[in-house]
Amino acid sequence: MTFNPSDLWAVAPEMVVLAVALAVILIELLATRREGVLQGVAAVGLLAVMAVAVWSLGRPTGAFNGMVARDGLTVFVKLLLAGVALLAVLMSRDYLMGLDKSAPTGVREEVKGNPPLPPPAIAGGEAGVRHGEYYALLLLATCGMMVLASATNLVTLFLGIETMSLALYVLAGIRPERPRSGEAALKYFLLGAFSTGFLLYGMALIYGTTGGQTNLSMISKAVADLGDGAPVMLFAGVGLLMVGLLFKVAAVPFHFWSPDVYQGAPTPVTAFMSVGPKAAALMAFIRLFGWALPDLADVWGPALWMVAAATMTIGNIVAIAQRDIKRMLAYSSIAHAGYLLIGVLAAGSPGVRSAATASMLFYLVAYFLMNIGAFTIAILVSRARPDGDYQIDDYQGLGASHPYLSAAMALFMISLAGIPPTAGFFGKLYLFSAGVNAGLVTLVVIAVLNSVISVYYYLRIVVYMLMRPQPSPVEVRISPAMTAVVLVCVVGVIKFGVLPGSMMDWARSGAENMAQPTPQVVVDVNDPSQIRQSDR
Amino acid sequence: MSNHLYLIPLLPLAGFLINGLLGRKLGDKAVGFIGSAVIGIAFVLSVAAFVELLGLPVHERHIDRTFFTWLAAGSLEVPFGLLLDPLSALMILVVSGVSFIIHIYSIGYMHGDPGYPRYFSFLNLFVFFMLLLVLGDNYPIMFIGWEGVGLCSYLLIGFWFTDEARATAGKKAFIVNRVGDFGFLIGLFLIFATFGTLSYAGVSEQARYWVGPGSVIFWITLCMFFGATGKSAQIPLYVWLPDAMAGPTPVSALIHAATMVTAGVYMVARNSFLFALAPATLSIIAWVGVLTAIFAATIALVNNDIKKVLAYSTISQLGYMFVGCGVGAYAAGITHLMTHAFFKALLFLGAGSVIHAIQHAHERAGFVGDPQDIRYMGGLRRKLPTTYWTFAVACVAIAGIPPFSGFFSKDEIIWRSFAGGHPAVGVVAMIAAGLTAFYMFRLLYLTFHGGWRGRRDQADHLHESPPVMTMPLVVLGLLSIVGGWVAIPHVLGGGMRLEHFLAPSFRIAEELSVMHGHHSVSAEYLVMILSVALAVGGILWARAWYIRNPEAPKRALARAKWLYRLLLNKYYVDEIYDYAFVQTTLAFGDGAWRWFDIPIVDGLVNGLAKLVGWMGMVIRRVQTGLVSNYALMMAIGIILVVGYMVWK
Amino acid sequence: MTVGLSWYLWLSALLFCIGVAGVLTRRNALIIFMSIELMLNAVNLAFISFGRYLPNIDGQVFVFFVMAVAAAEVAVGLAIIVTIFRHKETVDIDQVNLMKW
Repeated sequence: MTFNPSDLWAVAPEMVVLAVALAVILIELLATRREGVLQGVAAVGLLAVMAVAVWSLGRPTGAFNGMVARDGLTVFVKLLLAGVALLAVLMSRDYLMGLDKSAPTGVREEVKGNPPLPPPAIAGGEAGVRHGEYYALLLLATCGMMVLASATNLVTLFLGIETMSLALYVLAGIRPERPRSGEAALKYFLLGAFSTGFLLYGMALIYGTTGGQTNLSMISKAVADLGDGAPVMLFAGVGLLMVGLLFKVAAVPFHFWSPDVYQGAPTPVTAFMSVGPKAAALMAFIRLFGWALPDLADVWGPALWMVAAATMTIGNIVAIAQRDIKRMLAYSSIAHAGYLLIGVLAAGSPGVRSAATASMLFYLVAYFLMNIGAFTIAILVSRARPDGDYQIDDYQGLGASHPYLSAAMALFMISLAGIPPTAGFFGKLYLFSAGVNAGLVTLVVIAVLNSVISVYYYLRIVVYMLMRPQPSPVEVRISPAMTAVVLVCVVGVIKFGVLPGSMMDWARSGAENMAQPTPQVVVDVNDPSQIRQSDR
Repeated sequence: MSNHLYLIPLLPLAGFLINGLLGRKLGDKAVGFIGSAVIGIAFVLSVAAFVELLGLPVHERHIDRTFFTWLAAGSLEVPFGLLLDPLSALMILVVSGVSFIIHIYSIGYMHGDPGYPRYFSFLNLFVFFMLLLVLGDNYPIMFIGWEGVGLCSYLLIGFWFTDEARATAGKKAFIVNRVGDFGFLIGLFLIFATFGTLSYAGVSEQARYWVGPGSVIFWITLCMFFGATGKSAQIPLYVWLPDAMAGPTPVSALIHAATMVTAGVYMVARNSFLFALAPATLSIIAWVGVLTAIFAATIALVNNDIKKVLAYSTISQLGYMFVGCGVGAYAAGITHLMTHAFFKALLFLGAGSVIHAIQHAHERAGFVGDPQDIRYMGGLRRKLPTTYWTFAVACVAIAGIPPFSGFFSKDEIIWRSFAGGHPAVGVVAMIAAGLTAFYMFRLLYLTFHGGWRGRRDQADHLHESPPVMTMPLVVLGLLSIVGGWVAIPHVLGGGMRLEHFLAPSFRIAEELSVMHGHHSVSAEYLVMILSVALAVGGILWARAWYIRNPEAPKRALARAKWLYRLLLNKYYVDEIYDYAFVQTTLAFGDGAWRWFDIPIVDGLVNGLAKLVGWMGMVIRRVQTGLVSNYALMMAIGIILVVGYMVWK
Repeated sequence: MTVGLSWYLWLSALLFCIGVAGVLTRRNALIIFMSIELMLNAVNLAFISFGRYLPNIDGQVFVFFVMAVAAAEVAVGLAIIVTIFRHKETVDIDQVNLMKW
């Protein structure tokens, strides 16, 4: 087992992200109150990450003895994740600056019983969020997602998930002065750690039943060798591992954390969380279930089928009942996770594996653009309100006072509902045709019916904006960074809604250029001496 | 022209972008000019394309141009291609022509409205999607147009958004349409799964030599027809169209009479090669069509809202078009689509002129009232002479009196029902034709004849609309007279020129068709004479009741009060949908229902939406906010998932 | 009677279930957190016993990673619980339900 320097290319984007994160922390130490500099460094750093990611593209191969993959799929996903982080960074400064100015204690928090304590002291004695810390955590979470998306070994999978999650737990609770933020962090943390336990137990069982394999392709081989003689413990392991990942994509019935966390977390973090972890975890899903365990598809397939159907249905139905736009978008993102699981299921049937993976990639890009766009506008509208709340009622009559902003929001809503000519429509079209090709006709029918239901609550925002009188005038102020975010999302949603071909080509070449690395030197399980030695 | 076919939809899109982005800066005059001009140019280009097509030999009249590869994903490859064949050539001519006239009319009608630029940009956008729908050479393009016109329709119905009822109507229309679109989309997925391609050319080529099971085709066509019932307002999804009358009247004329609602008919005609393989679906279409025709006609008999009468009349006439398709007479259906576009657009614009005048009078007299109730009209003949004469022409045309356009198209459909082996359908269609003549003339007499039944002080303020509104009426009036002359049947010495022109588009369907009815000249004469007699009878009856003896209807209605009530309440369909829904909900638990106290508002759509919303309210209660409950739910989920996988 | 792999696995499963039961029944955030740690240690036991009996070294390596991550989790988790305590002066998770439905 030798170390090959070219392996570093496989993790080059992660290393750059890490370096930028450290740089941001250092800069904050040297130059406090330079929020613009911090944001700039983080943003430029992420652009550099994207450049490095493109640069690292090469022949599909593994690295570090099959721990991570270096292939088109990882590059595509890393670009997507860096893009998500970039837009999150761009929308964060306004949000954080707004906090610094406004009253540090939440105004409309309904704290019963004890009055809120004064905000906890932060080193330096200032209230509010330390920007450097915030950006660093965002970047560290991105790093974890990248590892998760490229993991081809259970160890790296686990490390990726945990790096991502630990950073996100803190990010959810990064506004300690707000009870809701703390509550979101606590719920996310406790349930996340709980699910990690199951994930790990599943890994342990898989490790044990496949004869000590942690590499995905070796697991695949071992499962194939076991054939019909696969022990029940293996199925239990696969099930527990699936549950652990389903928690991260917020699939029903493991979704309970997500509405509360989305609502409580700072909105840019919510926007980031609603796309990044889902994308990364779904890539892990694809590698694990689509590529390593298709032999067991008749075991995990029906279970995942039920989960997918329940996820999209529950997500859509409960979204209708929401009055808070962040909660509505949370349930909507649950529903979208359900649609995306169709792609995972389709990837389980070998014939359409690449097409299904590609359609998921496209859907993730579309979902990224429309969801980040919607959250950005939600931030803008809530900031225009004195209490900074996120009620759907706040959108009444916005069309008359802010026509361009409303047009953008309407576009995102139409796209989320999957109505052409928007990116969301083609995302659904590709995804559902992959599903039909894989023979999942019933599930696709459920999904189409669900997207009809979803029209109801997405359209409500449009109705409120265009067809209701405004109760009281609001003035939305938009900074250049926010404008840039909204513009990128609008252009993307329209571009991929009218001419989706180029993006789909990239997604396809990414999905087809996929590595299945195996370790070069395997610990010889027939040679007990290696083990015995370490025992002493 | 065919090399630059893309310009035809592109021009309205450009108009939308200019008016939408710069409309406020340009001013109303420029907006109206640009909005109309782009459609006008598109119309000229359509004429050019049509002429070019006419210049080709018959078997070469099929120009399929691919402009670029639009999207590709594995086995799914969709080029951005436009198809110019007789069917689409006729459609773009009708769509752009009628749109142009209505744009001109709108300049006058919407004058001074604060939402003027928004109105024209939406209208342009609508025309763009409609042209895309009829020009596309594959299903995805058609679907995008299909969804797009629905979206614009929704935006325009709710145009005067200050009014809650109007906004609700828009939403209802959109959601009912989505229910239909759901069927259409499923049909598309089935087509893709069955044929592996989504282009008309590819599917029709395979359909031509189809040897697979007929049930697949049956389900595909049934799903697609379900989509058509949504867009074209047929039973059971017609409920949205009467409510859609909340929009500005030119919108009703363009979208809810002449173009968008005919998209379903176009879709069936375009897919004639598939429908021809599914005789069962065709029978369903014919029966749904004819039942809708008579059902809507009876409701129109008693309705008192000038636009609602026209709306039910539209539903009824669309039923005829589906009868045409259902009995395999696609060309007749499309011919009726064209003539209907002329006279129904004219009727709506005429109604708009009337409403405009009465609204004006209301404002002058400082009176707030419903300007659309025909019980408070009358005698407008002298006040609005141009409107009256053109409206009368349209009434004669829709009633089916030769030689006006409606006669030739409607009679052909009725005759083909008999000839195609559906005599029962033909009989019902004939009765509906008689009813049509009656309710249209009832409308005409109540509105324009007799004396003014509104307030006296308003009568002095009633004036004819400006020329920018009456000129379109005259043009459409002429078209309503001569429009049918391209479809004069052989027995009357005509050449059926439109049918021959359209024939290449339905060639495959003709080859596949299993229906070969007998053709007897004397029978055709008999049908013709009978339907004209019924129409004349209807007119005379209306005359007897509403001109000669205005007391007669009251006496008659007093005798058949229950029937009147049934019709006036539109067969209680909205209420039945409500009731069915309430029962379903009650089954879920009476207590919970009362607890949430959800008022029952309006029909199936709101009902279903409420049902789903109610489920949302219930299911969200599971989200207690307590971590321990979440953990418990997760644990249960884990036990279910893992347990299933272990014990399977 | 020999103590074989299955004994360890049953012990690990038992520990894991005790951990799960603790998470589900206790209301104190700290105790819940400890129960989660118990679950992780049950996993560690499973890994080590698999690694010992297969025999394969990777199980032990995995355990090191799990322990490192668990340590990081403790740091983050305690900080979050402290934040909650500052607001509520309690760590009873039933008091933490501002957001629901």
